[in-house]
Amino acid sequence: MLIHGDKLRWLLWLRWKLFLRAFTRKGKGQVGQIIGMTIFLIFLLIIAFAFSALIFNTTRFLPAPANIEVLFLVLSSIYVFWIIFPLLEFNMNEGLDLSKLATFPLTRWELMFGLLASTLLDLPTFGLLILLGSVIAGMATSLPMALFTLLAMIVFYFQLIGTSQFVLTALMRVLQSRRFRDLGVLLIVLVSFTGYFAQFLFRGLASSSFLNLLNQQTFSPYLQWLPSGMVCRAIEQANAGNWGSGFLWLLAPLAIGFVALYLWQSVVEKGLVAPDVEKQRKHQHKEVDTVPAGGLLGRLVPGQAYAVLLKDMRYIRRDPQITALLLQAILLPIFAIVVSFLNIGNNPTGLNVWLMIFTPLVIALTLYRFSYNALGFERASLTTLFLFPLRPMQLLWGKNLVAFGIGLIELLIMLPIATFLTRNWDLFVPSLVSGIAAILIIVGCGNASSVFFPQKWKELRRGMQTSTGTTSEAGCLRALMSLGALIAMVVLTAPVALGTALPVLFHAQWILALSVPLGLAYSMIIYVGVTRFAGARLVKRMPEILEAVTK
Amino acid sequence: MTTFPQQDSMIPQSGNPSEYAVYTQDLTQVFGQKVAVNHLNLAVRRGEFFGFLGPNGAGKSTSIKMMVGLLRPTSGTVLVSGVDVWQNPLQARTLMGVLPEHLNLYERLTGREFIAFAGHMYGVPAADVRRRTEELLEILGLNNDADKMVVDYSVGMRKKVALAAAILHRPQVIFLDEPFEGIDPVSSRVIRDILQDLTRRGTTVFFSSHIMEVVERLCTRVGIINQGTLVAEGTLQELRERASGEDKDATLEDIFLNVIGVRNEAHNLSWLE
Repeated sequence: MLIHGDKLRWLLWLRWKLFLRAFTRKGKGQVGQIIGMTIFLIFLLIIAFAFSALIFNTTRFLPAPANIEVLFLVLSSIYVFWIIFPLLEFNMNEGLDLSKLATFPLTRWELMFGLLASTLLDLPTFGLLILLGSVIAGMATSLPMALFTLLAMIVFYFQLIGTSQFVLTALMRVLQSRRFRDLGVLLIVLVSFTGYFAQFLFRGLASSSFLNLLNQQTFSPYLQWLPSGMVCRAIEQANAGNWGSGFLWLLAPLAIGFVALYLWQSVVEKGLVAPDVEKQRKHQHKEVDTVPAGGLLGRLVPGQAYAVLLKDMRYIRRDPQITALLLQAILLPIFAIVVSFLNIGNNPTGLNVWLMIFTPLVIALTLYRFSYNALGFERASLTTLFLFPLRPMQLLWGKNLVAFGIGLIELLIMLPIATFLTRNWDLFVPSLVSGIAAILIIVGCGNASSVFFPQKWKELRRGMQTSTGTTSEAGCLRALMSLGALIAMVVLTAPVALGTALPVLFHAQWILALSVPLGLAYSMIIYVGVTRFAGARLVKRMPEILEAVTK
Repeated sequence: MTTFPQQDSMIPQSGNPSEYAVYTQDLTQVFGQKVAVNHLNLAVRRGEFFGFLGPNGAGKSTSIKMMVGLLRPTSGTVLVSGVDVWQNPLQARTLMGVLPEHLNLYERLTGREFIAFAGHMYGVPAADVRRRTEELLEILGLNNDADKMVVDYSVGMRKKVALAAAILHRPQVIFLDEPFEGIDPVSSRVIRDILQDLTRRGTTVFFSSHIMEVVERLCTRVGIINQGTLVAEGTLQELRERASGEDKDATLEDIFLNVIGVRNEAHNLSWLE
């Protein structure tokens, strides 16, 4: 017998247990996890029902052939999304990880059915089923049509799971490679910035020209060759009364599903028994300059601080989580400044002055993300760093130089652009100096929050679980403390901002000659004072900092 | 089971504490209700190869963390080469090298970069860092992989890189927590040779391990900790003499099991009969 009911039952039991454990497992952060999961569920349901309502209304009430054309687009989007999303997300669900079942005497069919049934116990699948349900409801103009659409959706689901599992498994080696994982993290961060631009897509979809495209059947001739398109074609044929043709069209995705499942099985089996032959890339022996160079910076900055600076620079380049943080720190002010400029484009030039004043402040404030938890960014490696006889001031200087350098480069790029766009040449130097002063304050305050309120920075994860350091597992108290630190930074930066803004506001720009240097001196006093204070406490607080960051 | 002397008699009271490479007095760590390390008194002489043994959860790693300044003791004192680890942490760290149990290396640095980084942290002159790094990479057999990132290293390679970073500044004392765990015999041999070479040149090695054969072969003295308390300490010969009134050929494993109170009897599964 190919399938033992008893074994299948235990496979389902395994999947059910693992599914439940995601909600009930004991340990640190359990409450937070349950709250997070509940919010995710509510979010998922809202999104799923919103899309379902849209799908139901368009497939039911749009005149043919536009409604079928919508169906083509919907199922094809689900198909592509369902295959691509796990590649970015890629974290193998334990219940779907066949390598763990490889040691047991299970037949191929048992594994396949176990897997198919297991996919039903997955949160994203619930959302998918709601969407497929809306398709059935939308197309159920009669009982036979309802039954046929139900069958079509089962076939669609079957081939969708088969294909996505096959693609996922076939690309396993690539997906598990560090380079791809890094790329996945960066992609998700960049995708998070596309929300603003998505509105243009939705506006386009709601336009009458798009409706014309639907009526002209623009998409289906191409999409029908995808398995999802074949299912749509089957529903279309059945809807037109051509039941035979409808069933024939359904056979194709069914066959594709079986082939995909078979291939998936083969790839899994091959992977399990194949020797782990890693391509041994021969590294040519090369003298890499691991020693701080004797450049100007190397001579100016003390040895330990320079080594920390070099290490952090390498990390910015190589650690996707930190690269993502940098990208966000750069993109946020660009985004804010570009959108502000577009919005004030038709307004009087007076508003443009504010762009000059706030550009350096926005850049400084975005550096907060880089500075407030500088020791936390070391993650588990902080243990290693603290084993060295590292002078605390040098550690802080090394880290500050990185943040300061990023801020300065941003200033030197963004301010000339803002100046050029607004034609406020006289404000360039005051804005630049104010920016430098604000960065000094932010970085100095960051030293204090790094030493007194260090936070655990979540380890690198894939896809949508990517964290760029804004979340903490340390609970509300620490979150409140870091919020307090942010407020303190804003308050301390206020004199610098006012020193530039008030003279402009009261048209007494000659005061800038006095207020801007004073602001710079004030910021230097703040930086030196706060950094010395934090540095003095750093060594004594090492165990507590380690406890917070590495536990 | 042989009765061992109580711990007070193990405290070397003679001599100045600063003469010892590692000296702990009443070192204690309490986590909530649990006493993880209970008034640990140890004195390791300079140039010794000291083995720190104990079953899982006995308090070995906790003790080492307190000795190297990573975990603040509930009470007690730790001196490394006469420097109080908790009063003068930076000075103490210049004197020691540490290979922790869980290697939290900078994974996005290459092996060569990491070793050099450690050298700069210890304040070794740049030219020496370069020369010693290359030499260590050569001896540890990491030359071909020196420009790979640590994230791509195997466990054995990580241990070798961490060891290189720990010894590059010629520390007076090296703390190694389970250095041979999870590494192959070839790497194990290389590490052993380096450690023996270091002790011959006066460096003190303080290391914990579960592998009795290695401890037996390398260590000049051994301390055994159980449930946070030091229950035996001495040279292998001394331990053997104390433990083996009845068996003079007792191995370190026999002594260890005896000291921690595990009876040497066969455990059979009834359903295999």
